[in-house]
Amino acid sequence: MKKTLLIAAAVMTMAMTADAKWWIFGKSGGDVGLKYLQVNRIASDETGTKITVFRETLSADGLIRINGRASAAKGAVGSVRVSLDDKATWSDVKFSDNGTFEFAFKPEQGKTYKMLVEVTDTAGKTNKVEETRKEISLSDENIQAKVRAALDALFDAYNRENLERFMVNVGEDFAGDKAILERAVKRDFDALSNINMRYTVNNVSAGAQGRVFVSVTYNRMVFINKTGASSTDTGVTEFVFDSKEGKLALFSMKKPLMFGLSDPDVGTGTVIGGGDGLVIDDSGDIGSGLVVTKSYTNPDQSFGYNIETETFEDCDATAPNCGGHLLFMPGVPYIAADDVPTSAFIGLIAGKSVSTATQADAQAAAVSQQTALTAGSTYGLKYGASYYAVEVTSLSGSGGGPYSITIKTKAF
Amino acid sequence: MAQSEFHASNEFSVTQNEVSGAGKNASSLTRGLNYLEVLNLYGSGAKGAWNYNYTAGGKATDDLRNDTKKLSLTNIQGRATNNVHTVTAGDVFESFSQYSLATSLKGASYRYNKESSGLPEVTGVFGWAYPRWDSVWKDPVTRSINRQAAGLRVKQAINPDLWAAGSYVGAKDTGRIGVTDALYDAKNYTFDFGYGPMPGLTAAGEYSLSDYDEATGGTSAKGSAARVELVGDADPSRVSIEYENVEPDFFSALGSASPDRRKVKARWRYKYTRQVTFTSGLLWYRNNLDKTRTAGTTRNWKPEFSAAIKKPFSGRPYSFADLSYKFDRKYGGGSSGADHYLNANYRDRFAQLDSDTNLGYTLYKTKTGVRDAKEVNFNTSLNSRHQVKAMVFKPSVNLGAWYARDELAEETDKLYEYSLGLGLEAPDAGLTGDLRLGANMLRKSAANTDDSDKFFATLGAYWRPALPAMLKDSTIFLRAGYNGYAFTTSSRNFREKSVTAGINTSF
Repeated sequence: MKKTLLIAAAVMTMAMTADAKWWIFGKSGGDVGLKYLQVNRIASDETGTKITVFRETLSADGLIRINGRASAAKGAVGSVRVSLDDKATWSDVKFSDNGTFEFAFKPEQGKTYKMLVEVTDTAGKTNKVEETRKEISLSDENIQAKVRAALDALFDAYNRENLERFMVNVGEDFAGDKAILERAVKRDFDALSNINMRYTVNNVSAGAQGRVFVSVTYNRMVFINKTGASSTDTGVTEFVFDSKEGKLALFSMKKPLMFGLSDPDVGTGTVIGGGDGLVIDDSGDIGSGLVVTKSYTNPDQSFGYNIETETFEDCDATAPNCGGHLLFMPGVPYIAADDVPTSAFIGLIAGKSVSTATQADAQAAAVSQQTALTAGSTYGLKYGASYYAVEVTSLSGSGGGPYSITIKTKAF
Repeated sequence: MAQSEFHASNEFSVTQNEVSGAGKNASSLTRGLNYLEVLNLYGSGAKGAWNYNYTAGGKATDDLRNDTKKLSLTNIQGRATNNVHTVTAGDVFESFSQYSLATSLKGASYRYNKESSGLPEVTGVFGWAYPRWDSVWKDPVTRSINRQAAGLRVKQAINPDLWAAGSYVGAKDTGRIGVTDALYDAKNYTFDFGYGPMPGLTAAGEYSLSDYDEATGGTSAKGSAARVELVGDADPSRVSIEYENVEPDFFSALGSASPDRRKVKARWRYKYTRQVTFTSGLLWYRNNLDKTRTAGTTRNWKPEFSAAIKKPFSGRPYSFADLSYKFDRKYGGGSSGADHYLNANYRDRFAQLDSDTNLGYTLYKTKTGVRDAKEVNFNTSLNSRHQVKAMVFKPSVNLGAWYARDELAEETDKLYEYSLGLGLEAPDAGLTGDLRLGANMLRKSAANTDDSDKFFATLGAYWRPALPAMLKDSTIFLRAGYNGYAFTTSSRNFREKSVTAGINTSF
């Protein structure tokens, strides 16, 4: 590791002290130029050529600020001018002795400003003006509309399993690392099919550095190619977007993950109260978060279910306790944590489905040996050291049977 | 004096979903008729030397899959400034730095920034890191842990090329929901900087020290995270070098970090000619920095190389080719894998037909018998545009195939898909539309696994009627979709029908 650190330090030192632009490979820059240029405090290298500004990201005075530092290798800076109309007119800009300057203007909605910065040294030599060209516009959309456009682009590309279109919407500075995310999404697409994900926005907050925080409620259905099984889940997660090239690009995302399920490390942080959500393991199967749906018809009113093997069994009078995790007695009606001797517990998780229930919900609910069985209810189950959520999505039958039941289960 | 402004946007839609078939419980759609209403407001103005603006938004729905709350506040914020002092209240997103504060708070912030004074920029923030506003008033359905946060940042320009900042962020959790919920009392002390020694060359980095106590598990730890990035960007090259070291015990309650990771990354994009651009990159990272993982250390090498070629055939002005190779090497920690990703993309225009073809080959290879597989995927799309008087028609065809051979199970999966599309634009009538239908078929050789077929059709129609100037940005829309799923096990079959109609208005 010391070697790695030394190499990194040496490379940085060389770069910091280099007199030439070594990375240009033989081509030199001009003598007169800009050491840096920023538009609304974002470096022009990062903004791209087209900059769309949103009302919500402007400062309260509504101004767009252009600041930078002019430089002249020989002599001194003589003048700095800014054009907002593609060189038709120029505004002289005051600059300090060290070349720093600031120019501000109030943009009109729907108008595009073709900005160029001209630096002239005292000998009359100018910079490469075209290299400073930026098209700046104040969007007539609100930031919420832009957030939805960015999320729509990501969700649509992911639903269609189009990796190239998906990655176009991810920023170069993606906190979980763009290269890791790209490979993880590629693995997602190999592992899943019939992806159907939707969302609604819970919270949007535009802030410093052109970044936008977004919280969403998601609703997801996927098919797992390896097993042919399907899974649905809903929950809440969070994203941060960067404003680049006139659109929003993904900067970071938290767990539960929406994208890159094959490598949980692409998520930097976890939503408060949230879990890992759906995770694809190294084999291409769902590792955790899978919601399993099973239907069954039993000739009488006593049957059980094994969550691990995903099988129902008929538990008649000779086998009051089944070999599985759950015992159903719809004629009573009750659902029980099926274990002898009794070390398993069950309880109702009110107001949640199996998709939205968390391990904490299951832990808090699982305090009884049995509880009332009703269709549409979700239960938390503790079995040994494991926790599960069980949703009874439909239940029909009466008296001594037969009974038909459909359940969804999720292991934590 | 600045002119006052007020803008509003509203979207209301109703959706009717029907799901049928024996396997209908696998659907993620909410059956029946549901609505969704989204409203956003923005205003700005001035009073004396102060400028102000405000935003507010809300959402209403009766579909629990859209939101567990029927009515919720999505955003509210007020901000005022006199160009030196700036005060913000409501949704506050003061992004200090990646490790310290990179999330939104419900609270307030103050910033002092006097340009050209030589004085530092000072930002203070206080609030709660609730994921949504309903959590603030302890709504039983959306209640979450109470994470109270406070932060202070001081940023100073040392010279025109160099700035440095120090920040403190503290977070304290209370109000556990579940018995195992972690409750943190965490502090982060962070230093970050930006340096532009010459045109086109920038250096940036940060160092953060965390100190936390966690009440549920009774743990306390200190950790640090550091990252440095160097970017050189001037034609014809863009070179970036990045180093990151995040200790296992580093914790940032409000920032973004992947703990237990040491990473080195280099990337070079080189415009060889006006037509040819090469991009190469190397990413290396490892975990187990404190050597306490019983499974050992996992190391990852991810080199990649790509070439983008405009006009690879000189006689074809619209031709474009992109070739890429990526390699993943992961070893240690009980796993050992070497995956190869090859991809070729070719785009061109033949008469009025635009084509986009992609061919990919992936080889997953593990020494631990976890996943040994070969996969080939092929996609091609053909699009065209035809104008007939004032109408524009955009027909399209997409064909795709995916083949995967699992060498461990000696099984094969095949997926075929096709879709036909027709886009329509009638600018004079303010009408746009899109119709798409297709199918995909998964065929599995493994016993006791289901083959599946999906047939789908979607329609989207958008009409911007001629309305008074104030409401000219209004769109009436209709979206309809059908999905039919069929499996080898017929009891899993189900069908989804969905129709959404709505209106979007803004001024």
